[in-house]
Amino acid sequence: MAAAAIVADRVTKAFEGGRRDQVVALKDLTLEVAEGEFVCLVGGSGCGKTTFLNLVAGFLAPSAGAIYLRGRAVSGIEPSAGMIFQSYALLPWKTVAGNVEFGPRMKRLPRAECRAIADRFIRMVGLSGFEHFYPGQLSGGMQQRVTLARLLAADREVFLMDEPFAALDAMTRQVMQEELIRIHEQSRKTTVFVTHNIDEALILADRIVVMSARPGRVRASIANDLPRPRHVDVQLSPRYLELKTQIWGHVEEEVRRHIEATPRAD
Amino acid sequence: MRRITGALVLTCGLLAGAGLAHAQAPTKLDHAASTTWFGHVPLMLAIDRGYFKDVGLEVELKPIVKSSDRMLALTQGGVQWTNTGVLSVIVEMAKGNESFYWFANVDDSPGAEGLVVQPGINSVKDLKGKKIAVTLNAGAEITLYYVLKDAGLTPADVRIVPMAANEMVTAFTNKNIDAYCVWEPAFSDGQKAVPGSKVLATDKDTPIYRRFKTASAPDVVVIRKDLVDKYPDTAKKLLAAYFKGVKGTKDNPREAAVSADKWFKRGVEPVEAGIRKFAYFDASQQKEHVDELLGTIEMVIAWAYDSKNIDTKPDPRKWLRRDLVPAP
Amino acid sequence: MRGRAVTARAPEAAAPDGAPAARRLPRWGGASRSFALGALSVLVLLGIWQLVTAGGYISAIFLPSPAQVFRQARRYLSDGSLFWHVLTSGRRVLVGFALAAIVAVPLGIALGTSRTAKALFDPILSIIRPLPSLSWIPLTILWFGIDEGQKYAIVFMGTFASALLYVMESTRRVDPLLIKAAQNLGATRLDVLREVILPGSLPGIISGLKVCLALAWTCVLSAEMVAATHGLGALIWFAKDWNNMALVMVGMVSISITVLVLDSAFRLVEDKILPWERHQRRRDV
Repeated sequence: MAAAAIVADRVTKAFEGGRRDQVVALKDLTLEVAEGEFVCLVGGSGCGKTTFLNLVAGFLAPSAGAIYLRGRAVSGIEPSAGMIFQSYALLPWKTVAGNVEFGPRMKRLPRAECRAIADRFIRMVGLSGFEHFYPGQLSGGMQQRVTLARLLAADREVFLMDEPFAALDAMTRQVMQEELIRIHEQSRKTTVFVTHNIDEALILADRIVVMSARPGRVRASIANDLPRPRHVDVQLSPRYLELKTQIWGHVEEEVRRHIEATPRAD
Repeated sequence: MRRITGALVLTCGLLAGAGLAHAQAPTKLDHAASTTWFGHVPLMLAIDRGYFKDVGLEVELKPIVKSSDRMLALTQGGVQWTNTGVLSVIVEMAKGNESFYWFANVDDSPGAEGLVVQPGINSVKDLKGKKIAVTLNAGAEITLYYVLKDAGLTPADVRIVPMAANEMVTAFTNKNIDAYCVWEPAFSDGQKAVPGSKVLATDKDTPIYRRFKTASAPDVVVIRKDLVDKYPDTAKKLLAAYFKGVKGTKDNPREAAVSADKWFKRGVEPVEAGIRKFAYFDASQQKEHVDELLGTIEMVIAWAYDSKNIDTKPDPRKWLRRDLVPAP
Repeated sequence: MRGRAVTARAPEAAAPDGAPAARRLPRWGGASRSFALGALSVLVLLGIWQLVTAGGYISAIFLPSPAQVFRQARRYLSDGSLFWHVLTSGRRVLVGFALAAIVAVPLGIALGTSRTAKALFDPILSIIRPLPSLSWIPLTILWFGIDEGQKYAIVFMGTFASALLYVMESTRRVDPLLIKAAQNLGATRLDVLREVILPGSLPGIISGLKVCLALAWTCVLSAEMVAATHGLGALIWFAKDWNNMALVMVGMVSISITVLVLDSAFRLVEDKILPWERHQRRRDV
C-alpha cells in the first residue's frame, strides 16, 4: 500500500457570503491520495472541487480540519504543490520559454540550468520550435501544453489540475488527455485532477472520487480498474460503460440535490 | 395626430411672434466697459440716474477688461456699443471689419499711465534684459515702446512679459517682474504696494503727447453699424442720454462719484478724486477734439504698422460718423 | 487576455513543428485604405471651408479662410518662429508630463497594491482630479513665480491626478489568477511585483500615460496664459489680444498636428516596450 501523499482530515471551509449567511463550501471532507496516484475529483458545479484544490495548494486555509502533504501540514502557499488552471494563467508578456523556466528561476537556479530544464520540458510536450512565441500567438491546446511544461519544469511533488481541458474543443481535449496519460506514466507524480466530465475521469484516473453537492464532502470513491497503459479508445469497452453508469448514478443524485437547494434568482 | 398638429401650430405661432418681436427696435443696448477706469464714469452716471430709462432704453454695463475683448464682443453682437482703446479699434479696421462706427472721445487723462520700476532701478537704460510686464494691444504698449526708444532700447532688448492689468500688481509685489507699464488703477496700486518703487516715465513722455497732448491710445466710443443704420432714432436717443451723462460728470464730479461708486466700490472720496484728475469732453467739444484725435490715430496706425501688428494702414475716416454726436 | 486565449486561434491540426498558429494580416492593404479615407475627409472639409469663406457666405471677420490661415502660418514658418513655438510648448508639456509620470508611476503602483494606502489617498485624488489646469494659475504663480517652473507646475497639476489614477487602476486590474500562478511557482512578494504586477500593469499604464500626454497639451494654453512670449499657447493668446483669428487658428492647428505626431511616436515606443501586444494591435488597425 503506497504511502499517503495527500491527506485531508475532516476539512471544513466556510466563506463569508455577501448579504446572505456564510457559504459552507466543504464540510468534514476526508480524503486520502496515495503516492503516485491519479485521482479525479468529479462533481457538479458549486460542490467545492476548486476550493479543495486551493486548500491543498495553500491559497486558502481551512476553517476546520487540516490538510497534510507527505505528513506535513499545509500552512501558507505550498511549495510542493503545482497547479494548472482552466484558463492557463500563462504570463502573456513572457515567451513560452520564459513561462516554462519560471519555476526553476524562482528556485534561483543558474540561468543556463533554467534554460536547459525549460528546453527539456518544452520538447517533452512537443512544442520544440515555439520557445520564442508569446502565449497570445498560440492556440488553446498549445497554451495548455505550455502550462503542462511549466508545471513539469517546476518539479513539484504533487500536481493539482483544475479542469484544465474544459476550454478546449473535443478533439484537442482528446489529444491532451493522451498526452497527460503519457506524462503520468513517465513521471508517476501524485495528481489530483478536477473535472465535471465523467468520460475524462474514466480515461485518466486510477480512482474517481465523487463529491456531494454543497456543502462538499466525499460521496463515493470508486477504483478505476480499466487496464493500463490507457488509451482514449478505452471508452469503447463494456467495463467502461459499467463504471460510467455507476459513477453517473452518484453524480446525478448530487446534481439534482444541488439544483433543488439552489434558490431561484430573486 | 390632432395633438401633434396643435403643438406644431402653437410652436410656429410662437416663433412667428418672436420673429415679429425681433423686427421691432431693440430696447436693451448693452455697453462693454471696465469698472476700474474713470473714463466710464459718464456711462455709469447715465445708467444710475435713469437717463436711458427716460427714453425707453435699457443699458447694462458689461464688464470686459481687455479692449480687444470688447471689440470681439461688439463684432459678435454681445454688446451694442463700447468705449474702448483706439488701438484695438484700429486693429479691427485694418482687418476690414466694417461692423461698427466710431464717433467721439469723451475722456482722456495723460499721466494716468506709466512705467513703474522696482527699487534699485534708476533709469530706463537699467532695464536692459529685465522683465517688463505690459498688456498687449493697448496704449501702454505704445507708451512703453516710445519710452524705451528714448533711452536707445527696443522691445527686443528687454524681456516683455504679456500680462493683464489686474495681474501686474501681484507679480510686481512678489518681485516676479522688474517693471510694468500700465494705466490706472494698477499704475498707482503697484507703487503703493512696493515702497521704494519709482515712476520712470508716463504717457506724457511720448511723441504722441508732445504733438497732440493726448494719451498714447485714448478710448473712443464705438457703436454697431447695424444699430445705427437700421434704427437711427434709437441710436440718437441712446447717445443723447449718454452725452447727458458726460456733461453731468463734468459739471458735478461729486454726484458722478456717488453713482460711479456703485460699480467701482472703492468709496466715494477716492472715486471723486479720480474723476477730478480726468478730462471729459462733452458733445459741444467733440468737433475740435475729434480733429486733434485724428492726428493721434495716424501716429498710432503708423506705430502699429511699423511694428508689424497690422498688415495695412486703414483710413479711420471711413468708420467715422461725426453726425452721431448729438447737436449741442 | 484570458478571453483571447480561450478562443481557438487556429486548428490544432497545425502540427507542433508546422506553421505557427498566428494569423498575419496583409499590413499594407488595411492601413493605407484608412489613411486615404481620412486624408480625403480632411481635404473635403478644407474645400467646404474655402468655398464658404471665399464665397462670402460667412464673413471673414467671423471665420478666416484657409488661405488667410495659411498666409499667417507661412509668415511664422518662413522665419522659423513657429517651430520655436512648438519646441517651447513641447518642452513645457514634456517636462510637466514627465514629472507627473515619474511621481505617478511608482506611487500608483504602491497605492494600487495596498488597500489601506488607496483608502487614504482616494478622497484627496477625487478632489484634485476634476480641477481644470486653468484654476491652478493663481496658486502656481504665488508658489513658483512666472517663470518656467510655474508652467511646468501647471502641466503637472493638470495631469498628475489622472496619471495616478490610471496607474492605480492598471495595477489593480492585473489578473489575480496570474499572481496566484506565480505564487504557486514559488514567487515571493518581490518576485510577484517584478514579474507579474509590473509587466502586467504596463500596457494599462502606457495607454493611460498616452491619454495624459494629450491631456498635458490641453494644459498648454493655461500654462502659457501668463507671462509667456513663446509657445503655441502664448501664440494663441497673443493672437487673441490682437483679435487675429487667422493666427489663433494657426496656433490651434499647430497644437493638433504636434499632438498627432507625438501620438505616432508614442505608438512606436509602445511597440518596443510591449512586444507581446504587437500582433494584437496590428489586428485592431
